Amino acid sequence: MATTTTVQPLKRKRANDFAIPFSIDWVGLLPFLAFVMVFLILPAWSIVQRALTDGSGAVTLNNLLNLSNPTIAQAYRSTILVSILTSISGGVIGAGLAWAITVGNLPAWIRNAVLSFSGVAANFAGLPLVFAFVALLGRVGLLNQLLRPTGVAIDPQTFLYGFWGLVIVYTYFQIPLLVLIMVPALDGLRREWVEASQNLGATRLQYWRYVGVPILMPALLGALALLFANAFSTYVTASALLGAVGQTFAITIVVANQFRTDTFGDPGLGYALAFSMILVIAITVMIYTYSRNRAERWLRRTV
Amino acid sequence: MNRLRTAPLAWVLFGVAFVYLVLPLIAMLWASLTTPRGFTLNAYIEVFRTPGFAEALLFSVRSGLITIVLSTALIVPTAYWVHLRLPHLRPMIEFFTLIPLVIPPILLTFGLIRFFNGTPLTNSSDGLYVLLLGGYIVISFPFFYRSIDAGLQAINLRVLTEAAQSLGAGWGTILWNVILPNLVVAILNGSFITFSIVLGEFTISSLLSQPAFSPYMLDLSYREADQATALSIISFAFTWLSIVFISIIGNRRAGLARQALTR
Amino acid sequence: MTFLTLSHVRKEFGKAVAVRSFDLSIDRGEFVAFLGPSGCGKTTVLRMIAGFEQPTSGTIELQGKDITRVPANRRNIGMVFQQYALFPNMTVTDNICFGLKVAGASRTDMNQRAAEMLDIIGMKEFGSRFPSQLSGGQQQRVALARALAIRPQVLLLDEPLSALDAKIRMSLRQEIRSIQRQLGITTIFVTHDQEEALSIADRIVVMNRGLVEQVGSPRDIYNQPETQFVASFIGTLNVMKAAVADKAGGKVALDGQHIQTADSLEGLDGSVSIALRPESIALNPELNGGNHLTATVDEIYFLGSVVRVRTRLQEQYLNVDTFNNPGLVLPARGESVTLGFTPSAVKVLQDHAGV
Repeated sequence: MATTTTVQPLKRKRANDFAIPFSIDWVGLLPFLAFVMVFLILPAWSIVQRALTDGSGAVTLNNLLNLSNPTIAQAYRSTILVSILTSISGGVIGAGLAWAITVGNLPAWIRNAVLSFSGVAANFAGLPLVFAFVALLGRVGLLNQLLRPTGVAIDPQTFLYGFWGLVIVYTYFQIPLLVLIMVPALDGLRREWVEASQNLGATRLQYWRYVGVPILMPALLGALALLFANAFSTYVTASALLGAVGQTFAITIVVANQFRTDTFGDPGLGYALAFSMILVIAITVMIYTYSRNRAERWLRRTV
Repeated sequence: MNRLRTAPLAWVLFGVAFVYLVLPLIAMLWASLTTPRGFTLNAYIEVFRTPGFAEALLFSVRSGLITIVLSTALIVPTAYWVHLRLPHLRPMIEFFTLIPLVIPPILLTFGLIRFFNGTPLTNSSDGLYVLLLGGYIVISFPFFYRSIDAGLQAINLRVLTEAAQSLGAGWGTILWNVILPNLVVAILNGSFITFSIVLGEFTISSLLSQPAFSPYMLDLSYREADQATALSIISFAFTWLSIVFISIIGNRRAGLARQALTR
Repeated sequence: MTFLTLSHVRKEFGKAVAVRSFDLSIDRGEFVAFLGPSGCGKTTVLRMIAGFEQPTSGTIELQGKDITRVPANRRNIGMVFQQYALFPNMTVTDNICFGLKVAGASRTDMNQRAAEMLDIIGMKEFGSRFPSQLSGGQQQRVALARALAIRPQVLLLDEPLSALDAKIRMSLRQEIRSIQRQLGITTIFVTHDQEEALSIADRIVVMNRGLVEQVGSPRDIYNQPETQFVASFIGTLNVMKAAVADKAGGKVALDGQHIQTADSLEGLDGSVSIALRPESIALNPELNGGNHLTATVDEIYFLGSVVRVRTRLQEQYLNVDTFNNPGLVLPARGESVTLGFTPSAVKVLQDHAGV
């Protein structure tokens, strides 16, 4: 309770101090805002701009309409499917792990090890990850070596260098990402709620059904949205894994190829692709922020 | 109070995740140690001697350090200022930290190239280097900012600042002698994440044709596959150990800080 | 057969002993307070009654049935937590009905009970609010309603008022007591605030370091503290060291001055502890029998309706409380005064309950 009484008065004090929204204090933000403008906002805007104009600068929707190209549509379908599947696979395994180290009460050293490992593994995407899975599932990889005596072999073409390869490899960094997002939410499940529910006659299952899962739901949905965006925008992993054939499976590779070598013979198309990607990701991130705000609203204590 | 027992299910779920996450690493380790002739540490030794390794590593380390310095100089005062004077703008800044998430590195690079097209930034190799650094800062600042933000939250900034002011300290003294020492762990954490992002970054470096570590690793994998694998293991282990090291320091300092503030 | 009986209940956490040996019998409808400082074991005993902790040894019986091993969710014992523990994702009504929902009650039953409960706590229009929209006092009332909605056999309250402001604390504790009387529910109330316990309980169990120091009505606890701990914990008793002067005659020497006690000093020797209530001492009284002490005024504290004069004997201090009557003439600091009190106001104490 001590924390709430110190935070609340501060908030109100500040609101009174600045009746005008823009004060001289904004000057302190200038360097940051300038940087973000120049290196992020404006470049992003130039993509949007070029997506909506043709070579001479006139506004047009043609670039966007050209996105209905079958190759592009195929890549989009595949990428979205991969993203959904890996959100679920990473979500399920990650949720299990997150639950185990919080509510499941695994020893503290395991929890710390998992959290620090997750911090590294979530960023592990890219070349090293591809090396690792090739070493595991490749034709002369570990699993095939181990399975040789049995005569069974894992075919890398199906499990590695194609659609399912993407799913399997992406899941690897989706798991720790979910853990990192959900552990704070799970920690927020106060033990008193469990005890209160028991006290009122509920079984463990009933607690989860009526209290635990509903409370976690916003955070979980937000996390899944983030996982989707994460898989959707992955480039290096897909490119390193699939090489040239990646065009069919990952929209990011299509974009990269278009920019570098103009595979479609239409400069504006690259920008349209980029713009469409930004839209998809932006929508998912909005879902994420909305969920997170919803979760915070519930868990705020007294007025 | 007493410690609750670990649920048996927890061990099962942990085991499943453990297998998925550790098996590929084991495979990678195995691959780097075996040749058709048997076990050897050759790859781990050779990787340091291969031409190009030192240059690429140095390039990325240098870039990482510059990125950290620039990020610190940019983010720390900003975060401090927002916490102190403009707390109602925190949501806006947090929004900015989400944008790099929406604009993945690949799109960011193309945006940068297009936006700066024709300027010295795209015409010279030094210019491209500036773009590279800019890109690095953009993709790492969300993490850096979050780390600093969490650190600032934990130290009750307003009270410390007012106490220092009442004792006669100017802004420079406050930042340097009061705030910064308490933020060391947060800055370390943020720097660390930034450093590992820069080292592992591929997209921007390769699209801007910069001789960074990750493009080097890709190239190496075509020439000497097991060396590349060995290198991946080394960097993974190094990163993980450093995180553990920093969090140990962090816990110790946080404990001291908490004691001091609640006495 | 009493309603709730605890026999030789003991709780160890590893090597630490939280509760040494707890025995208590509670009658139906009684309002009992567990009072003691932090760490004395009062909350642990409460949690064992609720079923959240298992006693290391000993039994707990409710209406003759042994419930020591019965799981917490089958005891039909209601509990109110210090931090309210309201489910944040449910409205006030849903929170209150939760116990009924998990028991499979019908919608109509639930609505009826909820309306009933909201009425009892005086929050009829708050049914569709969420906990985050309520103040601390309101949340605690809802928590109380939620615990009572399942018509529990026993109601447990774990320091329910500690997190609230002083004003609300006082009004809420009266409300809790009157609701309890109205429903006739056997209640155990854990607190570290002696004023709280004294004002609303039928009986108080004073605990210290895992042991029961004394059990009794508020008046008994206050007027007749049996151990040194109880005397110093309750009220603002003056507790002082005195030397036995005349065993048979019951006289002790307090900083060199002799006073008469009403207790027997048989079996005691050397130094004893004595307790004296501040309000039982008169300043500069008419000399007519009883005890008289000469002291110097050290400090005067104005406490509203009571004025406390701190006086000094030789080395020990004595607090004297007087009502703030109009026309009250107070001595000045450093002035010498006479303190008067009857022998029966002096209580000779034992050391606190041994191991």
